[in-house]
Amino acid sequence: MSSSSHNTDIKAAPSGAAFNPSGLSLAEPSDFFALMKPRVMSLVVFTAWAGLVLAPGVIPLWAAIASIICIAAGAGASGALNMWYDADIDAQMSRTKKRPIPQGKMTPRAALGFGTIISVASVWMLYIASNMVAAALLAFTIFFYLVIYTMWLKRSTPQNIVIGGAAGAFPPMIGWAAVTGDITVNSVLLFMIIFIWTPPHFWALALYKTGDYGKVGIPMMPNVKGPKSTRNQIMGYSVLLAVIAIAPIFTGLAGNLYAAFAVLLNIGFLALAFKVWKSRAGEIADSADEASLYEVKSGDRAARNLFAYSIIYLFATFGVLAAEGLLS
Amino acid sequence: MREYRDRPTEFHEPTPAELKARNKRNVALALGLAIFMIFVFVTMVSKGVIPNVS
Repeated sequence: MSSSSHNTDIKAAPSGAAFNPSGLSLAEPSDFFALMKPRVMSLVVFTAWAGLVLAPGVIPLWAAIASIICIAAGAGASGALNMWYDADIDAQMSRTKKRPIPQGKMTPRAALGFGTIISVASVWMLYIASNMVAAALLAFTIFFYLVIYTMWLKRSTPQNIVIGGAAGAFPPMIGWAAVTGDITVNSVLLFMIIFIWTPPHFWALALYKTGDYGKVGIPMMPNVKGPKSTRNQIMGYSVLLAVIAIAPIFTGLAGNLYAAFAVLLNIGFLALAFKVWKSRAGEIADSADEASLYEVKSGDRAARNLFAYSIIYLFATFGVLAAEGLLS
Repeated sequence: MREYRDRPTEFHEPTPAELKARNKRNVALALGLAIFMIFVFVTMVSKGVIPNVS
């Protein structure tokens, strides 16, 4: 699917709210909240908080709370803008067809307005609450997620989530910058952990949701290079992730507690990635419950397990890093 | 334009569900704006941008 054909469908949609004859929308506040991808937002809040805690120096409690709220709002706004642009494909994918726009509860234009206002407000507020560097990083993150990932890479290359994953990796760096006002090796390391974690995380999901992405023309790795190549790359990125995840011990960012947990967590990650590598995940046509993120056919269980574990892995990695930072 | 406003040719009565959704949006918008104003004020005070208020 080309990106030029995509927006024609959106613009052809009635510009009045929610396509009702009265012109009134059926969208409730909870639908606007759903636009902000609350599950993704929770990960953003957590990793941004970890970056804030780990950064050397202190900031007033209110400034820290305000910064986290702004980073969360900025991430939510980019989620809303993503749903505006992707309204056409969201309607066709089982995983996304229950989002507010495909359900007809609100128009893409309402999501665009909502996302734009929250984006501007969150960047401006972060500048007031912390500093220019953090605000600029947040603005760049929103731009990167909307323009570089959503508009450009997502529909054009199987490397979409590899490069696009940077958008999800910025929050700890923003949290760090909110305290120090700069970018350092350690904040880049926090960024790198999420950046390298993203491909095995998403490709594990893509392996057992191949049909869903394929039918809307999104060039995910399993559709373009095939399941075998995807499984090989998952294994490669998992090894690289283990190396990056151990690095904070050598840069002084983490100590013995993190070292112990990092070894265990990465052994688990590598073991599950190895099972995916040895499996035939992604080679059988979809037949499981399409709407479920975790329901799979027996051949895809290894990929599902890696996907589920990868979420726990990221929370645990940043949780232990932050806990050790608070204790020391 | 004036004539159109005086004599609407088509008017669709909003359904109770639409009116209820609109009321909820209005309340959420009012609350959101109030919270945002308080948020800006407290942040500016805490940063010393408004020096005469402590």
